[in-house]
Amino acid sequence: MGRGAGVLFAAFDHAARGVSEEAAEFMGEPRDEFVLLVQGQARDSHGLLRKELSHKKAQETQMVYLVAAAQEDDLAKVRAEKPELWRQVRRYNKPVQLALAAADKVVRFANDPATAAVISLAPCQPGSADLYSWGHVVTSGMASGTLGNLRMNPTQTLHAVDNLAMSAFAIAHRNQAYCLGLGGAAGQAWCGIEAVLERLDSGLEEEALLMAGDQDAAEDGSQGLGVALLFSTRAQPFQPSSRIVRLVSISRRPAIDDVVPHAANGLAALLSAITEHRNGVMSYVAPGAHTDGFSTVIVTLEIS
Amino acid sequence: MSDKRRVVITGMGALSALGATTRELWDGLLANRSGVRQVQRLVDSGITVTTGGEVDAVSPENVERDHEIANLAIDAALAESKQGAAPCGFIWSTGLDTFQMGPHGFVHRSAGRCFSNLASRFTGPRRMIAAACASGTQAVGEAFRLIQNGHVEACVAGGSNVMLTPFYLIGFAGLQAVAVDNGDDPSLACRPFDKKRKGFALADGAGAMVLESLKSARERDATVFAEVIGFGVSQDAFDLNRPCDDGAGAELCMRRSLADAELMGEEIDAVNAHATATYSGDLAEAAALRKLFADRWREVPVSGSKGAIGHAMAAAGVLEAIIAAQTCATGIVPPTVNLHDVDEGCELDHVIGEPRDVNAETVLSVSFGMGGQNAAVILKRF
Repeated sequence: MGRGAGVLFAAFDHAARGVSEEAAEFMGEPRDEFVLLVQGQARDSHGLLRKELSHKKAQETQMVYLVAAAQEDDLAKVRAEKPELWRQVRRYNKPVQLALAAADKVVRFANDPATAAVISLAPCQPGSADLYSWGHVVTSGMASGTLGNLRMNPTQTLHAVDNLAMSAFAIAHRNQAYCLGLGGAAGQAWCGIEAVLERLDSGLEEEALLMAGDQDAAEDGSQGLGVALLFSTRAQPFQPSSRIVRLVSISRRPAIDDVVPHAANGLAALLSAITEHRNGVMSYVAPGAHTDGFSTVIVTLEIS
Repeated sequence: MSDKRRVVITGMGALSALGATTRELWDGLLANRSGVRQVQRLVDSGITVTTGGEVDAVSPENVERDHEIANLAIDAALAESKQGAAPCGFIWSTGLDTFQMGPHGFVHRSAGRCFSNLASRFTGPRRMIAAACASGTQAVGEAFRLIQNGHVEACVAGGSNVMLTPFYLIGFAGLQAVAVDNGDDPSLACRPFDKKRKGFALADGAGAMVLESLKSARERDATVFAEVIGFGVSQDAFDLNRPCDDGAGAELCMRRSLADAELMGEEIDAVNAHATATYSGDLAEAAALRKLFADRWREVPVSGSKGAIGHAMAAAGVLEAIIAAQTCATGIVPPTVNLHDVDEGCELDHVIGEPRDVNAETVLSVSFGMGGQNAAVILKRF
């Protein structure tokens, strides 16, 4: 991207690995309009780029890019293919294992995992089948006054903890940077993206990891999903594709929706939409089921 | 800080083992009194930990107890602030899911669902904080940041906790974090920094603060109790169950809060410590504070409240911030209830036995979560 006197223009042309021919025409030529160039072709920025770049210039804020993302739903595969990771996570409950397995896939694209902001979503369906069984034992014993010297397996205590994935990631990567654990209420994933923008936009960190793991139901050890997204202030191709994905904004408007609380599904749906979207500006309206039930969420990205 | 907005506290609500108001909390602390006691329903269950910080304002039989306790604190803070909920953001922690027997059998309380219910009357940012025992402090800090950066004019921030159940008491006893019965007076169960400390007393509770921009407070002619001027977080990146011996992670978050407030260590007048009364936690915290204050560590009064109200987990940090705000307003540092004989390695300028009037204006309030999340806020007299 170049910046001339009185004009801002962008040339996203990574196939050409340099400023494209069309972009070169705009270099140094003062203009009143912002021009979005994608693969060497001028594109309509829908007014978005102008507003955004003007704001960022005025505020001296950073661009924020989604540079890698991964999902994981198969712990048997993790156990077989990544024995070292499995040794780290085997004591944890499924949502935490899945979140950490997804994070493991994206963290290799981080410039420095130790200094990235870490934003971690607690599961909406926390715990494990073991923990629920234990809950029944304790509450039944309490009712009958027969708890006596009953002792709890410390591993099961861990399964109740809401910030476990964040702690485990920090220990594994010696990360002491800004951290934000968001709880297991519906729609907190979007708060996570807002927090990413707040931190990176203002230049507090250069990278941010957002991770989530959840399960359909904790009581019976059912299916789960882990998702991790890595953001950076440095433009680089979004893994696993080769496109540039810039996170422009996230906004909300009041709405009433029936929700299906799940920490990871909303982010997974966003990633699917990014994959399917052609280049250009993308305004992703999160399905009501993935929100907090009180607001419609619109995530705006620029894909090139 | 010139281009950032100033953020002030205009309302507070507290439910703790010392009572259902901020006044009862403050008066109890100044009287060096503990509200921790033997809890009959725990005695009846037959477990080895029967003491805790019980909140009497809502019956333990009430299956909506989590929701009720939180709302009482929130309503008190909003009423004191003369602020409506609707325009505010809501930055809150409801702790962990809990399991108990209700009138009709097994009851699983979802912390997430409780948060969503509480959040329904707010229209600003709604964030559920999950940072274990640091949650309440981080909630206050995150609200401060959202207002400071102009994302919202006002927030209700804090946390609530209803974990005083056999389910968690047995779990924490297994981690050697909680004070098991040994025949002592139950009110002495939690002894921060003391040679006889043996862990914390688990507690229920809730604390809420209304934070708003100074501009908004002035426009509404609201009473200001204190100003929030700094916030910092860090991770230990060390161990899931214990801090590193030198308290490096704790020290880091304190230093970040100082940098955020553009203060030096010598400008802190008093500390509201996390002070859980766990063996390793108190040692690490004392080490961190000594390093932070360097050769001035004998001159900065330090006080912790868990001897008086127990450890209210998700609510602990905001209850402590409320106490810190009272210190800013009055200049008085309350004593650390149940601290009599400072343990080797825990040496600080502890306030023991009676409150100390040092005209404290700037107070550091810190919390450290299991798993290694640390948070600190700095409050200043307004």
